[in-house]
Amino acid sequence: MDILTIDDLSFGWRKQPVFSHAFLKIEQPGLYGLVAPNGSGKTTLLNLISSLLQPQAGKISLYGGLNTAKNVFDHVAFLQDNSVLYPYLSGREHINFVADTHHIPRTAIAPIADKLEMTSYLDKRVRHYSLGMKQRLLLAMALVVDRPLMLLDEPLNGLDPTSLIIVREALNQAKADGQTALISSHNLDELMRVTRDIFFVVDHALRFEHLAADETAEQRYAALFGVHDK
Amino acid sequence: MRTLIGFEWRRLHRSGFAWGLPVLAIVLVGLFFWFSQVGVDQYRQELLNHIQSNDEILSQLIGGYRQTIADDLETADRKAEAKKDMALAVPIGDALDAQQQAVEDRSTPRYLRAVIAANTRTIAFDNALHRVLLQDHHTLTAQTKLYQTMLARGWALEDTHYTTQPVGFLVSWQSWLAQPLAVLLGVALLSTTWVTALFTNNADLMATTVQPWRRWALANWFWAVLSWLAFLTLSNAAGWLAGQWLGTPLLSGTTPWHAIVPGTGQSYWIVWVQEIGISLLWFIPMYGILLLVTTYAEKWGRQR
Repeated sequence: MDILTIDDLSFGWRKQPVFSHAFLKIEQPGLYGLVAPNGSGKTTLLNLISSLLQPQAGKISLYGGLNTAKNVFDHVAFLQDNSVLYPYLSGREHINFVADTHHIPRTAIAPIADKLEMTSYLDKRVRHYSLGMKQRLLLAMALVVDRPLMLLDEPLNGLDPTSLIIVREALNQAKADGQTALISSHNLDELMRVTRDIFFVVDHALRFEHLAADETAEQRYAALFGVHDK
Repeated sequence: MRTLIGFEWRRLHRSGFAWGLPVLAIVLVGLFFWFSQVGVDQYRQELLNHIQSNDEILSQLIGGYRQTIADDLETADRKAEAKKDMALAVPIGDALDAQQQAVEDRSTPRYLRAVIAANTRTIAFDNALHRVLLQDHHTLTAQTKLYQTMLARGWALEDTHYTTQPVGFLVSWQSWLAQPLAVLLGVALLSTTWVTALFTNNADLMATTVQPWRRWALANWFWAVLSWLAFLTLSNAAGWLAGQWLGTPLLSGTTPWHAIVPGTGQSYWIVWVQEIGISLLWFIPMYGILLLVTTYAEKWGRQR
C-alpha cells in the first residue's frame, strides 16, 4: 500500500495556479525533502495533504484511502508554522493537548522532551520562547503523536547548530523506527544530511530527484531553477 | 470531549479571560448602579415637578372661583356654584401639598396616602362637575388601588426602571441583560477567544489535532454558556451587595421580593427569574449561530 499518492492535483489561489496536474508517490518509508523557491507552494502542498485545503482537481491518498480529516488524523503528524502555537499557553500544555487528543499516554512526553533537550523550558509560556525553542516544541508535538507519516514544514528553520544536531538525530531515529517524513526546507545542506530523496516543485508540478553520491542538493536546485554561480 | 473541555478552560484561564470576566461584571454593575442612582434622583425631581404642575392647574382653577365669588357683577347663583366647586377643589390642593411635603421628607406612607386622597377627591370633583381635571379616571383608579395595596403591605414606592434598592435594582439589571442587544454584546465579548483562535493560524493546529472538528466548537459553546451564567451570577451578586451597602430608597422603606412589579401583576422574584431565563434562552442559540457562521466563514476564507 502506498504511503502517499498525489494524483493529477490542481490547485490555485484565485487565478494564480500553484499546482497544475501534479503527481507524487511515496511507496517506501523514509525521509523525503520538499524543496522549492519561496511562494512556490511547499506549505500549500502540506496543507493539501493534511486536508486543511481542498484540491480544485485531482485526489490525494494516504495509506490507501482518501485524505479525509479522519484519515489524516489517524496517519499524519503535521509540524506546522510556529504561528499555530498559542502564546499564552506553555509548551507542556500544547504537548499534553496533542497527546490527549490522540490518546497517547502522557508518559510518552518526557522521553521526547528529554531527547529534544527542552525539559527545562517546557513549563514556560510560548510567548517567552525563542524561534529555536518553538521549532523544537513543534517537532515534539509531531513526534509525540507517533503517526506513520510526518509532514514537517520548515523544521530546520531558525535552529542553532545544537538544535540542528538534535533535530537531525530525531529525524534519523524516526526513519530507523520505520516512519516516513516529508520535510520542506530551504536549508539544502542540512536537508541533504538527512535525505537524498527530494521532491522539487517545478513549474506547478512535483518532480522527484534522488541525489547521486557526488551531487549536492544545491547543485540540483541551481540546475532546476536556473540559478548560476557568479 | 473531556480533553477539549479541559483545553478550552485552560485557554480561557491562561489568556486572562477567566479573570477579566468578574472584573468586567463588577465594573458594569458599578456603572449601572451609578446610572440608577442618577435616575432615582431624577425621578424624585419628576415627582415634585408633576405635583407642582398639578398644583398650578388647581391654583388657576381656585383663583377663578375666588374671582367669581368676589366679583360684584356675578349673579348669586354663579357665586354659590363657585363656592361649592371651590369646596371640592381646595382639598385636592391640600392633598397635593401633602404629597410635596412627603417627597421632601422622604416618606413613602405619607406620600401614598396623599396620592390616594388627591385621586379620590379629584374623581369626586370630576364627577360633580362632569369634567376631567388632572388625569383620566381609569389611571387614577388603578394608581389608587396599587397604592392602597402598597400601603397595606408596607412596600416602598420605587421607579421600576431606576432604583438602587437591592430587589428592584437586580430586576432592572437583569431585565437589561435579557435584551437581545445586551445578549448580542455578551456573545461578542465571550466569543473573543474563539474568534481570535479561529481566524489566526491557531485554527490550523486545532484542525489537525481535533477529530471531528465540531468538538472544539461544542467545547467552546459549553464554556461560553457557563461563562454567561457565571457573568449573570457574579453581576447579580455584585448588584445585590451594591444595593445592600449603597442603595437608598426613592422615599423610604424597602421593596421585598414578593412585592408586585407595577404593571406586570407578578412579583419581583418571578420577574427576576424570568429575565434570567430569557437571557439564557437568547444567549444559547445566539452563541451557537455565531459558532456556525464563523466556522463556515473560516472554511470559506481558507480556500480563497
